[in-house]
Amino acid sequence: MDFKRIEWIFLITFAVIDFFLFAIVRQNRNIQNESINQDSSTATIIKDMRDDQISVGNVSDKTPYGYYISATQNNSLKSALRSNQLYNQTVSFNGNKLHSSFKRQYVITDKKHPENTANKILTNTKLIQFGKNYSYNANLSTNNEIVYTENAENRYLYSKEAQIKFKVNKGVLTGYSQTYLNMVNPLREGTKALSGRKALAILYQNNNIPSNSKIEWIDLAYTKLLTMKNNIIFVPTWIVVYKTNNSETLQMNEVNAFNGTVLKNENTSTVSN
Amino acid sequence: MKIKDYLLTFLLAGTIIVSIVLSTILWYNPAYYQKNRSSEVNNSKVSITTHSLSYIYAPSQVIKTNSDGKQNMLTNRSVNLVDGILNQLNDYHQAKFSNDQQKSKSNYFKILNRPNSLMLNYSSSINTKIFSKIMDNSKIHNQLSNFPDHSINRIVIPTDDADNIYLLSDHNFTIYRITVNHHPLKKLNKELSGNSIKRIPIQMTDRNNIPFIQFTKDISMPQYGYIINKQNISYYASYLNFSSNSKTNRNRTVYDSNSRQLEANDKSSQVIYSTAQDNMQTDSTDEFLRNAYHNIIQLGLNLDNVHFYSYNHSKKSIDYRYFVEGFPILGNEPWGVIKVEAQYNNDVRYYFSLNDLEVPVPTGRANIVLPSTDKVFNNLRAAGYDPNRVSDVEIGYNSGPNTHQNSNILINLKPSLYIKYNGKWMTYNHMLYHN
Repeated sequence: MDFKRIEWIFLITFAVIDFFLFAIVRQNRNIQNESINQDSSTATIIKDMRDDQISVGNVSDKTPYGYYISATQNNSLKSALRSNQLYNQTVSFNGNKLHSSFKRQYVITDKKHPENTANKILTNTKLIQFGKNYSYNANLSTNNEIVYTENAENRYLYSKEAQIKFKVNKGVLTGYSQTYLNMVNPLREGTKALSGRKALAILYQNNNIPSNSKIEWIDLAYTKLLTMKNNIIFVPTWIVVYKTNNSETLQMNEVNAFNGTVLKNENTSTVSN
Repeated sequence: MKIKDYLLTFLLAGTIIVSIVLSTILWYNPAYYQKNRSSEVNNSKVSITTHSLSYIYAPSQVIKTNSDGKQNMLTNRSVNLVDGILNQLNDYHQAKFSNDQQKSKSNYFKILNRPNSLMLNYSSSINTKIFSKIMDNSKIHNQLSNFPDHSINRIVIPTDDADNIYLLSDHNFTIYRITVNHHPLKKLNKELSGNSIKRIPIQMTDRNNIPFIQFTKDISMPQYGYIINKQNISYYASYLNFSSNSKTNRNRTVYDSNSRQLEANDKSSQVIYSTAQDNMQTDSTDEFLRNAYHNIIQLGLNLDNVHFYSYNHSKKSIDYRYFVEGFPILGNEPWGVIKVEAQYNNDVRYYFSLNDLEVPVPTGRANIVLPSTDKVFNNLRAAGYDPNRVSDVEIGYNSGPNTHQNSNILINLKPSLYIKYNGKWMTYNHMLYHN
């Protein structure tokens, strides 16, 4: 074999090697420069959900401000009663929970919106204490109960320790129970929380939403994170309620809106409606 | 015939050289083929970190000068004040850049103490390109990004002059002026008048040719409680795609993978991660700051309340610190700081702590009163220090020693004064009582 032919063979071999090496360097440089767009990955997951027959509806991509909230659990309902008498009711306490039954019951005027009647009672300080701190929660209310939830920074506090429940019996309000958290205050400056879309994407990725289901409602509220002595610390939480196509019961999931932790993934609680 | 022979030899030599060069690049920078794997993993999980570059590089301090020249440092308990102020600048438009060539100290201090103005400060210089990134949502963003690149550490926004913003650099007393189209100032002034705003009386003074913040009165500062969460090193190992098992050696847990290494000290909770990343070898401040940000958001760290704190151009290192209500956590190293250091080879080292400020809790403790700067100087003099050697006084939060030893514990962050004496930072209490 002459020297020239060897040169040709080597030239072709090295040209092929160069081509491959150059391709590897170029490909990896592109990957390195590529910035990972988080929102597009959320959008992809939402699309996957729709492909999986999950009806998502319109969920906002906005990142709202949220706070860590501290609240105190004490006997303020009981102690406030000493200076403020409540009319037309008999009041008893079970721990810090107030039970009241109306002497003269209130007839619900608008059957479709029983909360209109309840609102009037709630805002009357002679009938209910601290009523202005609560607002109507349609999601938790049923035919037998009109539920009001205490507010923090314009959102609901989801806690059994911060609710007023009116009892409904044959079109009349017969009484109510009340729990109350005192000194509801933000602990630190507001921080941007995750968007509702991202919360949905996280739940779906953690297999918390099965295929063939429908997202009934999604809401950012405050839920209990931990208790320290008499203080309860609340964290902004995305509450996602869905229903599978072959079942009538509603399933509830919660996602910590600050760090994306799924708070209820094992035993999904059932919400009766 | 001869030329053709030579041509063939040259071509062969050329291809051999090219293949050696490309092989060397790949050999010395394995990041090229490792990156592939990590980006796949990132795509498959929803990234939680939502902190933008403008959040991390936001100015850390706000000072307002009233119409009578009195100055206050402002903090806000309910909203992020800096965020609120910067949002008010979003409607500014038609920016023009001009450069004050005089570099006169008296002019510089006139701007620092300008009545009816707002000053946003950095504890270390950034540059105008990063400022343009912070103004990302603004109408002047594009114009700003085309302006010449300069180092700056203060932004002064007049609250009664609708046409100008000043960017200042303490180094050489340089003033850059950005002229904008007339804009309404009503909203900006409203932003500064909320009930939740806390005001600390100060005065900007000239101390040995360096602008110096003098606390004119005693300062009553709250204490803060936090629950510390100790992250397991295996979390970072899996986040950073270390596939191999760890080796444990006394208090150290080490993961190794090609040229990357992740090491945690179980006792001090310090984590050191070193990896090859050529994007930190740049001499441009702007690129360095931007790339450092892009690199740290990929470490899986919780960046809540983390902001840029200092940058050292010659050492190619940068510190990000945890802040509570506008004040940095100081002196709790390795906890409270995320440090990025570019090495001489292509390696970059990241230093951070396994401990993380997790959930704020009420402390129920009384405020701590910090003495005014005059009192500080008198007391230091009485204790035998030379006040002339003090170049800076800063408020910082500290949880005391031993924060790093337990996991999931409640810590109490106390405010204290930090004094830069002979170029070294010390706490005021330490200077007085441990002399």
